[in-house]
Parts: sequence; structure tokens; C-alpha cells
Amino acid sequence: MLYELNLKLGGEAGQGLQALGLLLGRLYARAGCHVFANQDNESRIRGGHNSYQLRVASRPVYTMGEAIDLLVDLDGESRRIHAPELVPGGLVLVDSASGGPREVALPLTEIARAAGGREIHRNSVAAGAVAALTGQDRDTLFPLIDETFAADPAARAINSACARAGYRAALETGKSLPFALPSRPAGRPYLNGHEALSLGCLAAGCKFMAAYPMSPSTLIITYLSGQADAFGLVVEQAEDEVAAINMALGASYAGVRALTATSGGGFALMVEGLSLAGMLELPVVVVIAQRPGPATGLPTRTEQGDLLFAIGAGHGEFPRFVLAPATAAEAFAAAPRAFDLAERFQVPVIILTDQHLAESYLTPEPFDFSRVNVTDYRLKQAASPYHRYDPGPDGVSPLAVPGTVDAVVVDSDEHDARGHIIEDAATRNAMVAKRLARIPAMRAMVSPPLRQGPPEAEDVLLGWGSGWGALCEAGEKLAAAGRPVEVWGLQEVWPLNPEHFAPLSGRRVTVVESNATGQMARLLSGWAAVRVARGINRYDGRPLSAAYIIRHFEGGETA
Amino acid sequence: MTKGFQLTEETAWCPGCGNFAIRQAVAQALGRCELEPNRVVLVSGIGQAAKLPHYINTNIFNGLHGRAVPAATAIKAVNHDLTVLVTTGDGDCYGEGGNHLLHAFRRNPDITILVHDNQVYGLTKGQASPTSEYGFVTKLQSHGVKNEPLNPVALAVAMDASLVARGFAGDIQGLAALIALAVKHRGLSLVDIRQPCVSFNKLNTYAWYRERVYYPEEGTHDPSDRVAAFRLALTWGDRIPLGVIYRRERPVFEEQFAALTEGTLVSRPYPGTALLEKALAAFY
Ligand SMILES: Cc1ncc(C[n+]2csc(CCOP(=O)(O)OP(=O)(O)O)c2C)c(N)n1
Ligand code: SF4
Ligand SMILES: [Mg+2]
Repeated sequence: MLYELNLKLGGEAGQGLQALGLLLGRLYARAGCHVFANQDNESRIRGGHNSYQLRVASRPVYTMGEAIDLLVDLDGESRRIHAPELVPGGLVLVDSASGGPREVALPLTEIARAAGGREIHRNSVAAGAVAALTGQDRDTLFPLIDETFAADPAARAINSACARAGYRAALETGKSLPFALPSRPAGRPYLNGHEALSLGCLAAGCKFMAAYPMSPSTLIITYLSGQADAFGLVVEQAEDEVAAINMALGASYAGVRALTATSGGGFALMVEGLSLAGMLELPVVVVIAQRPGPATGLPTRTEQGDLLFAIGAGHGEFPRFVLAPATAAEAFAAAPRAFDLAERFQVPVIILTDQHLAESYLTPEPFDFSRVNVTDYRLKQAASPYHRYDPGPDGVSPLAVPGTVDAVVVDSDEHDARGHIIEDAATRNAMVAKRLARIPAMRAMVSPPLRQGPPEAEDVLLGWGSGWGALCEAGEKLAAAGRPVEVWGLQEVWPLNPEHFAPLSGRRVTVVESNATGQMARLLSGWAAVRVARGINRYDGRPLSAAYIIRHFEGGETA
Repeated sequence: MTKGFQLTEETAWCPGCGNFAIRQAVAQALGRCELEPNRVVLVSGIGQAAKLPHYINTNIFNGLHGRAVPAATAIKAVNHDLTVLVTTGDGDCYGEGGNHLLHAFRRNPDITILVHDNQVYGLTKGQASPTSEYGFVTKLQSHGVKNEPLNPVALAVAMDASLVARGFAGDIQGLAALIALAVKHRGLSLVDIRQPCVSFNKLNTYAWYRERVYYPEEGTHDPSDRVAAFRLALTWGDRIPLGVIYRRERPVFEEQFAALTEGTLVSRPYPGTALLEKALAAFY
């Protein structure tokens, strides 16, 4: 039996929406459900109107649902703002002793006080109530509350009492949503794209990170800093993004896997450093968590506007990879992949994420750490004398760790095989050729796009990165409505391998992306001879959804 | 006296440039510290000063203009068994890289920063630098520099830098001793080295400096006295003090990471799957 429940929590910044959403997401994940959750936040710390939306389903879901079954109104405004999104028969949980027919009226704050808490504890009352209204087992909820507050026995006691009181009170209303529980046991984590990516960095043996805070990238350094002692990492908040990338390059030179992360504006400051990585042939991984630009743009919202910037960034000519993972599971995998490619080819690797991928929660299958490839490409023993830029296969030279050989010499000036500054034309030509010689091998390494749906369909919906989830669902819905399309999702977006796109020839290709100017469409026409029929673009800062794609696909609108 | 530190015949420096003396002092100092060339990393940015690493047989990270300090900080954090020095110019370190220097004072990595302070941009042919004197005339500043010069020594004392010193390229022996002391010091050392540029600075010449520089007499200055150090740091003009101006032991950047207590970061093995499983378990 298929089931699906869409839940929305609405409230002001500072009212604890995130904590409540996290708790509920974990609850459904523990109950064996698949969950997709995302947030809509204004760029402020207090006030305004924010929401946290959970889609709970019996099969994997990767994009938000279209209508709400249960709305939790924590600010007294949500019922008005989100009323149009409610399904017929949907319910609104309000913090009030009385309410209308579609409302489940529970005096959450009063219940919290009666249970020994204060106003902030009403979130636990709400959690209990939502669990009861959606038919969740108390044996799943109560241990989860206990574990969540395990560090503080007093908080645990209050929150537990509040959750129990909320659960009881909701049952007493006699209202509920028809929502059948899966019988499968729990077994999937509930995490967002950047948490998955950060775990991937740990699995890849990343040991150094420097970054300067910038939404939506900050979670990565915050998480890794929290793991630094357990995993033996050095994590440093740099004074600016210029320092961050130069620190990462220093760390890479000294012999460890190094990471930095930022958003488009911070990456703009890193660009000279990226070029330095190209010249020194140093592995480094740079995460660009995209948000709408130009300049400060919409800091808490999403866009895929930095594709061509990432591919073209840096003065001079040097190779790089650009990866754009589709989901949390792919974000986990992208990190070890990026570190491996960076070290194998001694190039910078950019992982392009965006706010949507970064902050949307999913319940991927548990990661299999034993299958992560961690190959150490650094020299164990070097010949003497060691020359950093001696020619090697595909132009890739032996990479030694300073201290293990006579000298490791790297120079941002043009240099000879020893790494020392030169100016003569012959050496310059040889070095340019050497740096670029790895491109064919790099291209051959790039994974083909993800594909879903009938390969013979005339229509192809093609997207990249975090657009994949919405695209797949749009494809399924269109197929169900008798309009078959094949869906393509690029995850390794640079370099492009034109062979991967041969199956597109003669078909009607619609490129779907979160930007105004169709950057992927331009890239594919220019570099892979793909004939793009049209583009569906979204640039209002909101994530792509199946409904948005279908509306524009069927209506022929090109936004 | 150079103990394995060899200097190249060829350089791109003008005959008579103060950089030669600085290079000799660096080699002498490193030898005196009983270091092997492959245990030393010279980190630099871009400029005439920043070319020094190419003319000596150590490990080299010659990065971007202004960005040597963050790279050096990370190299030291990854392998604290290496001795890390930055050789940089006044433009490189106080201009383009000024923000990094401020924060390096705060971080206090155990590195030595040698600023070849010629009060001019040598490599780009003679524009004013942050330490050029007020009124200093260049092709670009044809009416004279309109900004007051930065006082790097006073800045470093104000920032509570762990070791602050001023050297002079006209005194190789004194400079070598100062650099050796800075290298041995645990924590960040800033040595502002006054370096005549014979091509582009006709004002602050060897003779100009020789008339003014002096080492405070034994026992007359206590570098651990910050107020006295600041007073000395402000002494400029007819008399220019050399030597250690300020010194304070402070916690070193690298020793504050749990990851580095058992050894260097570069020697740490990859984490096992058990640790990763534990991290993942927190998301259930
Ligand atoms: C980002 C960047 N901006 C400008 C330059 C040009 N540039 C190279 S060295 C330099 C100034 C050098 O002055 P200083 O650091 O005092 O070194 P000196 O040559 O005097 O030893 C400048 C402006 C550059 N290489 N990179
Ligand atoms: S320009 Fe000045 S600093 Fe540069 S080498 Fe010549 S004398 Fe030395
Ligand atoms: Mg200079």
C-alpha cells in the first residue's frame, strides 16, 4: 500500500521550528518511513514567517509534496498564510483552547506549563500531538525524546512530560489523519545534503578544513569542527575566503586531504587561489553551496546560478572537475569521489551544491563506509633527487610529502620540472602541455548522467545537481498521464564527455535548471553538441518542484 | 657556517641589493639552529623578497602575492615537525596580505615571518609601499606619498605578537643572530628587516640606515615589558632601534588541536569504519 503524508510547521524565526522538524523527521524515519523535508526561511534570526515541511511516504521521495495534510500553526499566522495549501479534509493544529472544524485546538503552551515546562516546551507538546494525530507509536516517540535530551536530565524530564501530555491530549480530541504505518523496522538516517557530504569528507580521510562562514555552506565547517577531536582533524575558521583556500592549499602541500567550502560570493574571493591550485598541481576540494546572486542575492534561498562560474573560474588555463550531486546519498558519495579525483589528477575539484540540496533532509539507505575508496596517491618512497614536476603518465607528476625527500618545490610562477621559476618559452610550453595533458584521462573518468524513464521516449527532461528529485517525480507523473518522457540528471558536470550525450540525438531535449539564463543548456550545446529544444528555468529562489516542471512543460511556458 | 644550506649562484636581484645579505643571514641562522634543509619550508608570496626561497635548497611553497601567511599557518599545522619561515616583502605582507598578518598575530602559529622591508614595491618597479615615508616620491606617487607609513613593529606589539624584532640587512651577523632567535622562539615571530633597495629607494639607503640604527644597550630594554616595548617600537627618526623589541610566551596555534597532541596531522592514519558508523548513528 502506498501512503503519503505532508506536514507543515509554520512559525517565526526563533520559535524552534527546526528542532521540532528534526524531531518529527527522525520519528518517521525510525518508524520506517521515507522522509523528505525542507525549510523556507527568511534571512533573519527572530520574527518573520518560516516553515518546515515534511513529506512522509512509503517509498523514497526527493522533492516536496504539493498539498498539506496537517499544518502546525505556531505563530497564529500560519493558518491564514498556508490555508490554500491544505487538502480537503486536512487539519490545522493550533495553540488554542478552541477552534474551527478543520482545526485541532490544543492549548499547547498551557499544556506545557501544566506539565512543568515553559512556553518553549510547547514544541514537545506539539511533537506528541502530531505523533498521535498521525498514528505514530508512543514506543517510537518517547525513547526518541529521551535520547534527544539525553545530555540534560532536567530538560529530558520536562520534554518527555510535555510530549506525553501532547500525545494524550491529541488522542482525546478524537481527530486523526488516515495514515497507515509501515510494518518495516527502522533503519535509515535522517539527514540533510550537507550533513551527508560532511560524512563523506570524513570517510574520504579529509583532515584539514578552513572556511569563512557563508550561508548555505556553514553547516559543513560547523559539523566537521564538532567531529575534529574524534576524527583527528584540524578545522579553522579563516579570516576570509582568500585565507581559507590558501590554508587548504598549504595543508594539501604539506601532505593531507584538504577542504574549503563557501557560497558564490566567497568563491569569488577564492578564485585566485583556485588558479594557484591549478599552477601548483595541488589537490584540493572546494564546495560551492549556491544561493541566488548576483552579490548578496537571497542568502537563505536556492539557485543553480554558478555553474559556468565554477567551470570558468580562475585566470589562466588549467583543468578541474566540477561535481554536482543530486541527493543526500549522492552528496555523501561525491565527497570521497572528489578527494580521489583531486589527488589522482592533482587538480582542484569543485563540488557544486545549493541551498536546496544542502538543507533538505532525506532518509537515504545507510552509508556503507567499507565501500568508500580511499586511495593514497602520495609517494611512499621517492627517487633522489626528487623533482616535483617531472613528467609522468597523463602529465601527472609524482606527489611527495615535504620532509620525506630532499625538497618539495612548488611555485606560482611558471617553473621547470624542479619547481623553480623560469621564463624561457620552451619550458613554458612544456609545462602548459603537461598541465593540460591530463584532460583526456579526466574526461574518461567522468560518470555518465543518471537516467530514469523510457529511453525511447521522444521527450527528454534534462537537469543537473539537486534538480534530479523534482525531475524524476515530474517524469513519473507525466508518464502516468500518458506523456512518456525520459529524465536525465548530470552529476559530474565538468569536464563533459560528448559520448554520454549521443542518446539524445534526434530527441526533444528540455533543459530544466534553477537559473535564468540556461547555463547547462548553453554548456551542452557548446561542448557536447546537444540540440536543446527549450529550457525550463526557475530563479525565484525557490526549489524546482514536479508541479513547476510539469506546468511549464505542458504549458510550453519557458519561464 | 651554512650546514648544508646551499645558495644558488644565479639570482634575479640587482647587485648591491639588501636581499643578498638577508639570504646569507637566513642560511647562517638555519645552520646555527642545526636544521636539515629538507626539514625547513620557506613560504613566500610574490615580490623580490618572495624570490628568496628559490635561491636556497629547502622545501618551497611560493604561492600568491600576499597569501604566504595562511599557507604557512596550514603547513605548520599539518606537520609541526617542520620549521616554517615566511620570506615576504613589505607590500606582500603589510599591503596585500595585511588582513592575514593581523589574524596570524591572534592565532600565533609557530612560524617565523621575515619581512624584507625596503619601503617600496621592488618587483613592480618602484611604487610606494605601506611603509614608504610620507612624501616619498615615485613615478606613480609623483607628488609624494600622501599616506602615513605603517609602523609594523608597533602594530605587532599592539597585537601582542609573540616575538617582535627589527633587523637591518646592513648587519649580516646581527641579522643572522636575530633570525636564529626568531626561529627558535615558540610562537609567531615577526622580524621587520630594513632592506635597502638600491634601484628604487634612493631615500632609505645603507648610509641613511647606518646613521640611525642601534641596538639598545645590554640591560636597558626588557622585551617582556609591553609598555616599554611599545615605547621602543615608536622610536623612529634620528634613532632606529634594532633587535628584539617585544617577546611573550603564548599558547601556540598548533598545540591547541586535540588532533595534534599525539603527533603530526600528516602522520595520522585514516579513520576506521567504526568511528564513521558512530558518526552516522547520531542521525537516527
Ligand atoms: C594579486 C596581485 N596583485 C598584484 C601583483 C603585482 N605585484 C607583484 S609583487 C608586488 C609588490 C611587491 O612589493 P613587495 O612585496 O614590497 O616586494 P619587493 O619586490 O619590494 O621585495 C606587486 C604589486 C601580483 N603579483 N598579484
Ligand atoms: S629592485 Fe630593489 S629590492 Fe629588487 S632586487 Fe633590485 S635592489 Fe633589490
Ligand atoms: Mg618591498
